[in-house]
Amino acid sequence: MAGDDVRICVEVRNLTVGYDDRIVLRNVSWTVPCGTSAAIIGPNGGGKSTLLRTLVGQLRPLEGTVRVLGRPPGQAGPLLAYLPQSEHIDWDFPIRAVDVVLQGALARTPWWRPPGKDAYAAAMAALERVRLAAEAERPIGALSGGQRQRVLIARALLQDAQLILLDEPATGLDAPAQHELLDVLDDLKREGRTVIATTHDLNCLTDHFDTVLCLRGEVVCQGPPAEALKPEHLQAVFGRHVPLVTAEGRVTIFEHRT
Amino acid sequence: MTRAFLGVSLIAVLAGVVGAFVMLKGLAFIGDAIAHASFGGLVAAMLLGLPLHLGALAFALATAAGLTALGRRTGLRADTSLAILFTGAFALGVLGLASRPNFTGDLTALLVGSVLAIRLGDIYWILAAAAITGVVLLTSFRHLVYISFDPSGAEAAGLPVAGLQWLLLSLVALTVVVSLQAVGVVLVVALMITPAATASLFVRRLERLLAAAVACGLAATWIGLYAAFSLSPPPGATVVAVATAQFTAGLVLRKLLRRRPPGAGSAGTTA
Repeated sequence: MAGDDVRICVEVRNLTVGYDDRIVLRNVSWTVPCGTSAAIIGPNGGGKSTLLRTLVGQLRPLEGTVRVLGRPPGQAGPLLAYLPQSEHIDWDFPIRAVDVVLQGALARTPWWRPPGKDAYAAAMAALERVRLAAEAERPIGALSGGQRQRVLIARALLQDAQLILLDEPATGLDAPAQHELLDVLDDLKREGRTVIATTHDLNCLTDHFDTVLCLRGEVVCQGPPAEALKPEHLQAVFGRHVPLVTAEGRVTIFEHRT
Repeated sequence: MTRAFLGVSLIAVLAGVVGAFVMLKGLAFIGDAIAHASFGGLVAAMLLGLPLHLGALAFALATAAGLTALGRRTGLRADTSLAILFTGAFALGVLGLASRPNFTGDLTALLVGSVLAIRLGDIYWILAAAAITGVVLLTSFRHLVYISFDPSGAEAAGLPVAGLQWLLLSLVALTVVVSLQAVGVVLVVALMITPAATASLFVRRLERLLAAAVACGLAATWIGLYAAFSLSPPPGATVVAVATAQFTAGLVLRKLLRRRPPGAGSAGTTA
């Protein structure tokens, strides 16, 4: 298993990537050691989602190299779980929460074998771990935004993914829901899994992520939050509206006037 | 008449099951387009003296494959590539027919179907399509659900999303082709979509939705055929009209059910 012998879960060297007519990210070099958590921050259009989509193999690098769990992007199979931005998922699809979790078993079981009672029990256990066992039978569309994210995390647990990528998981969640989500992400890390999330919620970073990567078309800063999130870096990332993180981990946003 | 009844009932089952996916994935336009594209195949097969189903199936599958490929390679919006493909194939069919003026007599049958002309060979085609669909759903139902619900997540986890999408479109193509004899190019999409839409007014679980869509389709088929045999309007159109009436009645019924205040359901009975 790649997770056993690979120490670096994500290795990006001199990556330039974009779409047909425009380059979104230039010359990004970044590594994420296995078993750590990393937040990718930056403004809209700064390249956060583009980087994640490159890691899962949905976008090809124009230049540079990318290794995910020691393999080229798109080759990690069930070792990788990707939670796309909420609007890419059809939440009206008529399935129950537990059915979504059971999807995690598909990547690991032979095509022709239906999931048995074992898989159902494992799915219930996964829901228990994200504190949603009581919601198992409810339609996925009836759950709140935070609960939906945790159902997808339960799916990643059933899949036994070693690397979990989340694109804007905290968007639209109120503070209690964000903290429930972050508690679950902490659990994942404690189990030795690697967690990478894009976010613009700086408040949570200091408490919950080991490193941050600040993107605005290129790398503006990276490192442990306390070192990377200096006022001058944040201003370079966010422009006039700069969120500042205090020693207690609180954020204030001030408008920078020149 | 027994043959027509059997054939259309089998089609209702097949179209109900496939139609539920078509509706949920928002593929109604694609289903319609595949049906129109298969018209080109029908005419080509007719001109070449080949089995009609084969020609229709070839065009329908080619459209399905073309859609998957065009969407991925050109970055065109799906509905754009779709419109180009199916109008092109349909135009080929019209040109083919025009080149042999003596075929124009069959045009109406191709466009709106001819239930009473269902032959034993058509029944075999429908049975084969149902068997293939059954095998695909038995082995890949959950995979198809996964890629419908969260295609990006499924792809990242290693599922062959493009292949599965093509598989789903192929089932749509197969259903369309075997239904053509009964309801024709223009109405076939109604057999897939309308019963599924009616079912979705009342049912929220996918497995139940499939069953309810089949039930609605069968009811529309039987009522439609019975009316057609007693009053002799065109059977295919009658079945579709009944399905549409069913949906309208469903809408009204749901509105009435929702308007009833909570607890009113037990009024007049002892709790």
